Amino acid sequence: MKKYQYPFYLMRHPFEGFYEMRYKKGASLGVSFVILIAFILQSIIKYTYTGKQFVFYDITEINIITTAIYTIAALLIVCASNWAFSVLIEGKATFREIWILFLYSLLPYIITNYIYIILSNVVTESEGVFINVLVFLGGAMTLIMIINAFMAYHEFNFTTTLISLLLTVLGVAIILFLIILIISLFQQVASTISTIFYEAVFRFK
Amino acid sequence: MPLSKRIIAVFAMSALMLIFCCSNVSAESYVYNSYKETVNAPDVYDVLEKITGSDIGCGTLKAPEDMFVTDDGTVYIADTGNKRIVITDSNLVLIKTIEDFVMDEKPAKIKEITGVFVDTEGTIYFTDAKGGYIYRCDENGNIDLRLKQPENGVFDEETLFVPEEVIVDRSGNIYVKCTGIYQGSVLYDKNGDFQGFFGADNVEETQSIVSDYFWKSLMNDTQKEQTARVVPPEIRAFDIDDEDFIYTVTNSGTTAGSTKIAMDKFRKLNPKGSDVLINKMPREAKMALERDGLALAFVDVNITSDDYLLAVDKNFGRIFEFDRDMNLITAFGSIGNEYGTFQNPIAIESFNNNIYVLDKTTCSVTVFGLTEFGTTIHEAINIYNSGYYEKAIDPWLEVAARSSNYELAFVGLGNAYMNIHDYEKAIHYFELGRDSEGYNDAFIELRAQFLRKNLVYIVGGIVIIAGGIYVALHFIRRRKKA
Repeated sequence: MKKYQYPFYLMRHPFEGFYEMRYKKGASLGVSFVILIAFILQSIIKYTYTGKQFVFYDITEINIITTAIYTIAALLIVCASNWAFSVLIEGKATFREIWILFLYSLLPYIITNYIYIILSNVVTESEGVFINVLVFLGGAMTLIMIINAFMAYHEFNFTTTLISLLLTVLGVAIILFLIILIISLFQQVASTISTIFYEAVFRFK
Repeated sequence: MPLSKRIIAVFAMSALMLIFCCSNVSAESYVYNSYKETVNAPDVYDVLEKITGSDIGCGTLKAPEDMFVTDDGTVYIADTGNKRIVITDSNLVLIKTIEDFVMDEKPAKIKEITGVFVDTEGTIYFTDAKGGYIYRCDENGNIDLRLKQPENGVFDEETLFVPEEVIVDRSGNIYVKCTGIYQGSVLYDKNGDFQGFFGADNVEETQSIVSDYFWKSLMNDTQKEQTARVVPPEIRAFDIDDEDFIYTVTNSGTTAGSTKIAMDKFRKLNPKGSDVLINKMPREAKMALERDGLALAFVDVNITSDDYLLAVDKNFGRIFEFDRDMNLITAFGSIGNEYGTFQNPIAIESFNNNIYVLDKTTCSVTVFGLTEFGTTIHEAINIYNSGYYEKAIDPWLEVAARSSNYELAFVGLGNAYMNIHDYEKAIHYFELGRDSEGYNDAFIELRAQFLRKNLVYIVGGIVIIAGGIYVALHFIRRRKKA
């Protein structure tokens, strides 16, 4: 099986597909980047192309660059948190493999979001409930695939996988808190330096 | 540039500058758009004049508390500090003042004139908050009815009877708003017999109130007496229209730990006391108004003869105007010293498309009139509400031409086109007005039209494609077998 066929094979066989991908070494970084680009595109297209009967986005507030950066940063943080905590529980996946696994698992969610965007243009508000169900099912499929990916690559059993998911969420919270802390510390340092500078300038005038 | 052209350019520039010099002093008006922002819009109302007591001709007013304007334009001002009622015409020129009141052939001792109401025959009803009475008199001050606190046990030493405002419906029933009474307005019939309470508000069921209810069900009686009671908020002001619907406004405040939101503040009570107000404001604009409404404190409300709801707030001196469907027409006014600003607005009334605002601290009445922009908006709304949908299109187009921030114009155009079944134009204007519900309605019709015309081709196309795929697969399988 070619490397680019693996994501679709995994959607059809979520339970044994990951074991097969691991032992045949079919995880490809390039394919994961293609999926990443599809993910970013979907987040951006959602603002302009969803049907207007659902919600009117403020066109002046759409920012492609920040959307792309937030998406990539969110994925990196989740992968880093998972990688850090899986070391504690003796998981055996590398960071590269965790990144690829997350992106391959996101594929059903991305596909259902594209279907949502297309369908939202031909569906009325009351029928919109059904396409929301579609997106929810895509998310559920993603969750199933992530659990199986962890069981295959980290070699956890089911309970340990759930625990590692909870720890990942906790880890994301900790990482975000640390980032906010660092930013506010930088702000404090910058404001101290600038206050000193302005004091000096005004005293010697 | 040749000299003649330069001279013309200079004159043109100075003419342009003159336009800015003679603009009217008016407060900046705004509306909410569907991005939850306040955006500037042209003024709907302009200041006409600001009249103090000396301009009326009756001497300065002293801390006036209420004002009422009848359907024929007679203005009644409750001049509380001077213990009199000042009656003027709609141009605020003095007709008479009532200073001496006579009851049963003897001069009556009125402690204070707090609220005033006049019915269609000219009978004056006023409240005396300090004395705890409500009086009914004619225009010469002859009192023929005096109401005091009802004796049903609600009012005792702890709960004082402080009647502040009064309204009367077409049958002569008297509704009195008393301070601190959460059961609603005190209702008397036209003979003065106490009928009960009318129109209590509902307690908003927030999480804290529901959890309180749960804990109270486990407590015994002595414990229950010591916990705080959960009561609905009292109304701040009310007004009655000519179909006997009562419009009330309530202040947001804390009721047992919850904060009421702004749009609940307005209620339209039918004669049974239930709230029948429908709110068609777009969701985002409504949320923005609710968010800002927490800082507002409405003091008076008025329903105009064209069914527009006016409300004045004392924290920012803001006047809001809503139409029948609770769409915000305009918001203007502020606290200040110029014409068009207030120090302590306390009453708002309307007559003939003019707004009268009574200011307690400056003891003056500010009169606002509709601008050209405002007249066009009112015209468009009135024509649409009368059912002449197609005739409302031109006024709305004019409003939209003057201000693209005014989303109500686009929504109005969309609604007008929907009613004459021109769905393409309707959907275009709903998109401009960012109204997703209207867009949905127009979209349903357009989709139905499209399917009706093209269903044959769509189904035929699907059948042909499916048949073609089947045949192609058949041939591919045959080739694979060979």
